[in-house]
Amino acid sequence: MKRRAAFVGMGLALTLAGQAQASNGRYPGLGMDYSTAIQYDFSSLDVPHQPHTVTTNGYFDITTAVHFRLTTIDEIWVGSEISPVTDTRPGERRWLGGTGLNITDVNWYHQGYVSSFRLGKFDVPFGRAQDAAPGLYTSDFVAPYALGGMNGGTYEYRFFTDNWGTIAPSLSLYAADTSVLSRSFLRPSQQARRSDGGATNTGKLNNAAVVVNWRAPAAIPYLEVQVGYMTNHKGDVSAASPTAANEQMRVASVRYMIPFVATTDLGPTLAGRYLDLVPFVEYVKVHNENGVPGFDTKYLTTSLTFDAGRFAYGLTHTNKQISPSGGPRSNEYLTEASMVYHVTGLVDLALSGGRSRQGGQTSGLLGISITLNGSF
Amino acid sequence: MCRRRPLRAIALVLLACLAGAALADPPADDLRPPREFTYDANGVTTVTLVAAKSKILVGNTPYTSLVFNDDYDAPLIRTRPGGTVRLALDNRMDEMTNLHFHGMQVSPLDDGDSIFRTTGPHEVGKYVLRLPDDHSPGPYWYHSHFHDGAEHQVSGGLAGPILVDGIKDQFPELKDVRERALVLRNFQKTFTGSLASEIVTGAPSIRTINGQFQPTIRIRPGETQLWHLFNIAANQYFRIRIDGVHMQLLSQDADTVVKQVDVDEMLIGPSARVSILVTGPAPGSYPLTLGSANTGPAGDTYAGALLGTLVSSGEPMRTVAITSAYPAVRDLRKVTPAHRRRFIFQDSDSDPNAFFINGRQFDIGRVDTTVKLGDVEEWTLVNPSQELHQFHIHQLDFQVTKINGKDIDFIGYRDNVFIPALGSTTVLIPFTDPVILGKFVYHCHIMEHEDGGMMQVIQVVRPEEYDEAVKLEPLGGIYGDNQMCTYLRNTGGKALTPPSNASRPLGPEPGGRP
Repeated sequence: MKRRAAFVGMGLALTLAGQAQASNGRYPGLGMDYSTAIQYDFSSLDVPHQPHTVTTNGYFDITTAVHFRLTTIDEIWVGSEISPVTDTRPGERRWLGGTGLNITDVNWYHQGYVSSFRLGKFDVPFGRAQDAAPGLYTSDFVAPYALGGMNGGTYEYRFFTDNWGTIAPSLSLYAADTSVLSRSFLRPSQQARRSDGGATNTGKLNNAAVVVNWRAPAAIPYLEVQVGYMTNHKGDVSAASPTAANEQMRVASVRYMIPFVATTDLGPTLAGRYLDLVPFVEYVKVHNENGVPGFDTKYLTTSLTFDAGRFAYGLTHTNKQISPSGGPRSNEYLTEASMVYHVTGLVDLALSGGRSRQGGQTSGLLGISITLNGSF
Repeated sequence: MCRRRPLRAIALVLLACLAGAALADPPADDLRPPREFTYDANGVTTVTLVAAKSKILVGNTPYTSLVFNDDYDAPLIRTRPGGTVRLALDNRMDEMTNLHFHGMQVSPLDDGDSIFRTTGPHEVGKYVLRLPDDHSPGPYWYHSHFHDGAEHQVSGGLAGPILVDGIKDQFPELKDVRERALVLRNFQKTFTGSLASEIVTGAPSIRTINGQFQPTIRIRPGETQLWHLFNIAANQYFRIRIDGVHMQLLSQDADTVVKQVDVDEMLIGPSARVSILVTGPAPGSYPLTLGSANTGPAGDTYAGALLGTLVSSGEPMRTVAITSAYPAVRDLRKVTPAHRRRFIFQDSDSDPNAFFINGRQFDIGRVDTTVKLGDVEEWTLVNPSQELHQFHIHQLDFQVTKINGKDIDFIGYRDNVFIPALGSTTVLIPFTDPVILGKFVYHCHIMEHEDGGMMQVIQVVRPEEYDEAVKLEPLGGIYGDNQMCTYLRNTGGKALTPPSNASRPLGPEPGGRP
């Protein structure tokens, strides 16, 4: 089904491409955005009564988004990422190891007058911490509910009124990708299979997310709210997941932006003499996380970002409360302090340090990355 | 009538020498003025712009780019109030294009300043602009306004300056003052030697004045020169300083200021123009420095640069001061707005290349706002994004009254203004000149945002046609693509006959309505 959806999307796109005329300016046309980062992670695992285990990992993370422009409002997006696709072992000192190529997006993207949709392989627009919270590691920590690389479609409609601001409900229908695009390239890897189990691995578009984004009107400026509900069917019951269960999630987040220097002059902004404070809170409640029966979790991410000219400073704390049915409740967390310096318009230097507790183990984290952004 | 200004300068020098005047030949290393199309005895400027992919020099660096008339330094179109510009756009590119005449108060109808018309590859488009007799003098510019291709084409070179004569008529004491056009632009560096396929505002670029890299601009100590600075870059702000040099602002966006305004730094946003009086300092060299810019946490960062050098040398000259009265311009704050509207200029949450106004993407087939001719409206422009936006509306000028809720001193009208990141700008717009009847657009003039959808369509209609025009908004309004025949079909009314060569308000003066 998902293959068929992808092929239908490509077929429609090619049909549109066939209708476009060479005289229509830059359409059809091709463009590419890229981000090339080199990152070095240093983690120190604290195990009681044992020496610290230090793991280091240096790697490239190269993401690209190729846009095949069909018209001014229709594109085919092909996204890819070259990065480590295998985890480091505790104590390993790795440099450029485990690298593979993943196809992250292949979709027909339409951005219309008051609505937009994607059809194909896409990231489900649910939750904001993965993008809105500062730091190098939070996006991985909240990955269980930030579903990427799903096959299906998402549709958003934007209502706007002067009194209510922008209210943008969206509906996404999708299933986990088990096509050839689910494997990693450039290294030995396996294609995902239906028998792997897990939530959303159903082969049908019977998994859904409904999200409402609200951007407040000018009377309450700079306030953004998201609420959403996601329901994912369990995958096939198999040896890998003999007691799978359906998964449900609820999300609510608030982001507010506070400019500290409200000036009538343009000069201070251009000179980078501004300070914006951006608090962000997101709460996500998950029932049967990843289709594991009784594995209920709650994520609470709180962050504060200071944007000050070429610098951005961030503090993020995510607490994950795990409440397995019949088992003791436990907490995991990630706390990180980060700093980004915009070296030029294309180059960012990021530094992040913090502490995490996952799987009963506590680690210290330190990472540095240099990123080159650009387009062709 | 195309010629290089040096020829004209040399001719003037010869004439001056014959007359016994003590004028010196401009040094060879002085800033070269742009080529120029100027008007004939009837006030008609006939222009041919050939848009083609050409091998050109950007400063001193060879590139292949999209330019007019085989030159990165596009020709200057000179006209005058009451004049006519007849322009042929000869498109020899393999892509569509069109032209907008930025800031000019001319009709958008038929063969006028309409962005709804395009010129196909290897076709010739015709434009006829009739300037009202009271058209404001000063610097304007022309550029591609082809939707979703404008940023690319303007970055490549499909833009150039327009100068409407007459500012010296407002200030006769400036009659003998040397006038210069300084056309500012930036060109994105590439490894391929060709125009970048994707424009990245923060990428390294070559900043030029009149296509020249770090030119010398000569002045004598005490001399007064009138400089018209045009920012015709696609996206960038120019923050220019000449330490130790006195500068006086004479007009912004070709709207003469209403009082003396001294400046030590020029902040010229995308699409903005300023006219300044520069006084020659003590002998020496003075760098024109371009400050680095940061347009907000979600915006762009680009480096500063040396733009050129002002060299003061030679015999001292007498400084010319403004002695004439500044023009009287109606302060619109005395008018009760007929309508108050709010526009939210916002970035997309999910697509860095998508931008909205009031949640809507630009749709060339619809009308978003309908306004009655004769009304003065107050628009509050709100920016909930963490980056600057730059508001511009076609065909007319407006008055900025508040930024971030604070009152702004009135120094004159303008046709573009920044909207602060996480802030707001309030403007009063007089939709009073019958010459603007028709359909046009307002948008963010950071062309990356404009191409990304931050643009809307407005129709200005006669009051009796308002209800019909609102009904037809989803279908493109009463003017169709600004063709008179469509207008007549949609309204069954009389043909629009804006007063020829005059911009008289229709009906009673807005100031007299309350």
